[in-house]
Amino acid sequence: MKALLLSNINMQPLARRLAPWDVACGSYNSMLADLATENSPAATSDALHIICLHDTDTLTGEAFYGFGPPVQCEMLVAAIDGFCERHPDKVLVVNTFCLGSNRWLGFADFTHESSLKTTEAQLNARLVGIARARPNLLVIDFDILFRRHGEDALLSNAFWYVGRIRYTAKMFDLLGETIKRAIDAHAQKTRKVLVLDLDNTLWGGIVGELGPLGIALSEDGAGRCYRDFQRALKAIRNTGVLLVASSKNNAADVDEVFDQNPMMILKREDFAVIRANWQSKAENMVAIADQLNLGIDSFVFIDDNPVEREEVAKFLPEVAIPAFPARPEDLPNWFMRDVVPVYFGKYAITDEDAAKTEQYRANEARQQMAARFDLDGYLAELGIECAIHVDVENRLVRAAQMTQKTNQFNLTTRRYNVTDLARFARSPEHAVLLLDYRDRFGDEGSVALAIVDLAESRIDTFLASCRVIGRKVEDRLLDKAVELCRARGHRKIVGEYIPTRKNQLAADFYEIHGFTPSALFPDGRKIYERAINA
Amino acid sequence: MHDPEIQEPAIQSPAIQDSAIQAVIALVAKTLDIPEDMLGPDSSMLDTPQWESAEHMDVCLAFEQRFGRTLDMDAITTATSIRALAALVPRTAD
Repeated sequence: MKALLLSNINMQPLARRLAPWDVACGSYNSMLADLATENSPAATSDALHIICLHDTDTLTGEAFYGFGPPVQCEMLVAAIDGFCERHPDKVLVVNTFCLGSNRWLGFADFTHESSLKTTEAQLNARLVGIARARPNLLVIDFDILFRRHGEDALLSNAFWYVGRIRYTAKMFDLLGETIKRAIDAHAQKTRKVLVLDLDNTLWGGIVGELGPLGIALSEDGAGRCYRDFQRALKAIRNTGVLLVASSKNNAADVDEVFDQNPMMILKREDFAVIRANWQSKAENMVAIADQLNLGIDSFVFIDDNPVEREEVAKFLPEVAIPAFPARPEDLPNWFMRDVVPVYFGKYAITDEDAAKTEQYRANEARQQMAARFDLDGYLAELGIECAIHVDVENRLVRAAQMTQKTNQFNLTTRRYNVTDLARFARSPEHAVLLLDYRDRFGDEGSVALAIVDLAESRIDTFLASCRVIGRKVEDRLLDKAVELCRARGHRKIVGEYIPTRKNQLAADFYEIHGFTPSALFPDGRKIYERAINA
Repeated sequence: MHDPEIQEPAIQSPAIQDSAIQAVIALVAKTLDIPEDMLGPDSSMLDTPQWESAEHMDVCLAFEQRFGRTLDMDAITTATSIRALAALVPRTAD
């Protein structure tokens, strides 16, 4: 990946920490000009990520001491907005305005008309507004880093006065990690499923020995650690992470906890799957992946027992398994600091994310119904309603999420970010088709996506969530793609299948839908064609 | 007044100085991304082309992190050789 690093201070030590990316540094203190001018390296280079990290104390200039408004800060806000608007194909990474703790106004800084605290808050509020409007702006909150690690550990006076380097090695390390994670989150490269042990993980003690009301789960003492952990789990469940319980226990004992213990924050319906049995954790995890129709490499496993963790690591190396804290009092903080940002860091939350668990649970109900009906009867009974939207700019975050995460029913597995999709949506030569689905069990939101090159009458991307496979929604999406190409006067439409380790499910899609193979490449890639005469 | 941040190299025993020199050679080589055998106890910014002023900042940042010692302005500007940096390495108990 190519990136360009801009700043108003010396940030060269960061470039090395972003390896293996190919990172070039802008000229010293050329940040504002680089963002604002049209022929600057930021505008013209082939770097897709422009990392622009400013030092707020320096940028504030004389205004830091109350002499006039922070003109350069205002200029930076305008330059950020302008750059994002002019370059929707690039991702601009910036930091929040974050002044040091030095306050010449002392206690009066909170209320004074020249208050630095107020100035900082106003500038950040404008940054929030821009970030909400521009999906290619990625803002990193410096305040979080300073709150957690402290100025004394992250700032260096000696390096500042000798070489205009504001930060210590520790801060540069943190920045390197944070930027990489943020860019992954922006590209929606995160895990989907959190598999949780129960005894001594979700609550203290062993339910089989202590009973449903004897386990440690309370508002005071050690039980509070587990309750706070459950609160944090509920919070990330609402961002689209699927919670799964997997426990070596009698199912009836686990049921009693959910039914009888009033201190449980997490309820049955918060879990996409609950498995309590005496099978190995690895076996259970494979069965869960099958049930959810998700790859095992999207799983994170939390278990207090190192033997269980080792067993899963041995048989399922794709599963992420963070070490468990030794003391229960560290559990909530460990989870929020060392697990969530590393595996589940989100940059945008869609409506579909918030309803994810309900969607998977509704799918279970559909599968039970399918077992009672023949296919056509089943589909009729479902009462399916589909709506296909073309080039909907405000849905591109979800569309990008689908290209990043869909592996199985994905004909070409091309991964696109929001800026790529914005380019397609704005191009008259392309159409981005998003299919929304609902049936009598609930609203699944956007579940299928196609990107069609209308100039070449070629389907670049065609994918559908495995949640809806078998319900013929993909037929409706293909019909729409054909309709758009036909309207452009084309007489044939071209499809493509690129085999991967995971998309065998889609291998026959084009043949089943009347396409004939026209080219086969040594790597297995196939090109198909179908006549679409009126 | 004695500056607690800077130690006098003359006080170090030869064994400690050797280990400090080896540790500093390893750190500088890694930071400059060059083989360790390109550096010796007498190497400095003057005779190491890859060790320029910008890279020296990286070396000093890495030094602070590796040895847990904060460098002052004087140390950053004058410790521009392997020996000078090794003299700043905190001594451990024999």
